[in-house]
Amino acid sequence: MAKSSYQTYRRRTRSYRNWLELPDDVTASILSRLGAIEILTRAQKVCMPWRKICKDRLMWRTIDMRNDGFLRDYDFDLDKMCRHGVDRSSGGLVDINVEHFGTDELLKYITNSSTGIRRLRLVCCYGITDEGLIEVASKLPLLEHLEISFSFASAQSLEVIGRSCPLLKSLKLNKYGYRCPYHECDDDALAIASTMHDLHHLQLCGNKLTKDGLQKILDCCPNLESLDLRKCFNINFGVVSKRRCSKRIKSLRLPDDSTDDYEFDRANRRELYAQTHCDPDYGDFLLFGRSVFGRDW
Amino acid sequence: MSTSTDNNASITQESGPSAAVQDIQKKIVVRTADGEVFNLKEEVAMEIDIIKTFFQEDSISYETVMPLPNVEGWEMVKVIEYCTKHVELKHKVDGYKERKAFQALFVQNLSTKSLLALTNTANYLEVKYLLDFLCQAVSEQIKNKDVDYVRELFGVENDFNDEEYEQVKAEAPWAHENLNNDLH
Repeated sequence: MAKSSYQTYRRRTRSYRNWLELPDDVTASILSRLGAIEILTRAQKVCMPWRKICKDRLMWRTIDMRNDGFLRDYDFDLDKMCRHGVDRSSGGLVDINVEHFGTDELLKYITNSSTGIRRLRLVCCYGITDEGLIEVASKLPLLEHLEISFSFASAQSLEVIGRSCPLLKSLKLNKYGYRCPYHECDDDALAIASTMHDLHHLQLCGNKLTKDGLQKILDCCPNLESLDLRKCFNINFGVVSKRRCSKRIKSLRLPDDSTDDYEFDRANRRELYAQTHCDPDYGDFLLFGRSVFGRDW
Repeated sequence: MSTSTDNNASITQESGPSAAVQDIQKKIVVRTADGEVFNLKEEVAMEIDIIKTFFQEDSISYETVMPLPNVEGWEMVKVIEYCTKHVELKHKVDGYKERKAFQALFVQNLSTKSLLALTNTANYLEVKYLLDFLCQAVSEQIKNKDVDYVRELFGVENDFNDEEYEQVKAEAPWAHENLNNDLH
């Protein structure tokens, strides 16, 4: 479908009518808000000026691969897209969000080429293992914000991350919270308390920690400003401890507090809660009826 | 009688001006490209960085009417509206819902062309929070829309030639969608 060069010239001059007025950095600001997937599959195909902006490495300092978890079903190779985005950043990546995909290999690829990552978010990344996290921890020395929600992260990997990331200010480690948890477990809390002393923000929704684990965190993290313990149903807050805690912590969310503004609330997000008849030890990792070990039913 | 009047007058003169000055809100005056003149409250005017910088110069007095040759009257109205609300909400503890409601109304009747023009203006005037909001609003208009729709919406033409098209195709093997449909 070749066009004559004159026609192409005319098209180019006409096409600049609206967008040429917007400086490139403003257009980049608009397009970057679409998220990496839309930028790669749509925005960069609209016209040549947009394509040029989408290829600029500054656009790829942040890679937001947000999606609702169904794209795999439509043959989108999110892994390839993510690697492509990392390549375009040319080592300048500082902030990356991976949702509903991701493997240890991908994590290695990301951290091998980007030494300045400050924010890392892994949500529903069933292909990323403890070993994978432990292996890349040392490549994240500038990490300040970490979120690992509904993905594997044992206390052991938390400890390694805590020791490798001295600048860590914010940690989100969200799991499904069971109203009647089958057992208590302070492993995560102790790992956090022993290695992440400079935390300012901590979100531990759905964790099985007890009051002892919480106390350890409060003792060892003197800079905590916000603490979100919603759905941590093993913690029984008395009136006195509630008061004491909220005096110290500017923003405190308690186990039974409203989840209206919780990102992973049933009403706010598309996934289903794990079926209650499932083994609670593995129940955390069941989503969309897919077992983390077997991928799909 | 005249003495007492004089005394009263002198007393008034001493206490009057300082009290009066405190009562008068400083106004900053700007003129847009279409000749419209706007009187802004100082606290609102100072939200607009280009105005703030202009009046921070020692040689510029507040009586000066600042020209804004790149801004249309209707755009100035919208910018003042947004900045005024922003200043008002600064003093409120829990203004989140009110801000969201205001923002929704703010862009409700704006055409895409107007939205883009206003974005340009917010950038020129250097009002960062307004620019961020407008960029977000524009991106909402493009989100999840196919390429042809976006081109039509923004009056942009497909200016890829064959060679460039092949390049894009080769670079993007991650989606097994029909690239022909998107580019032509």
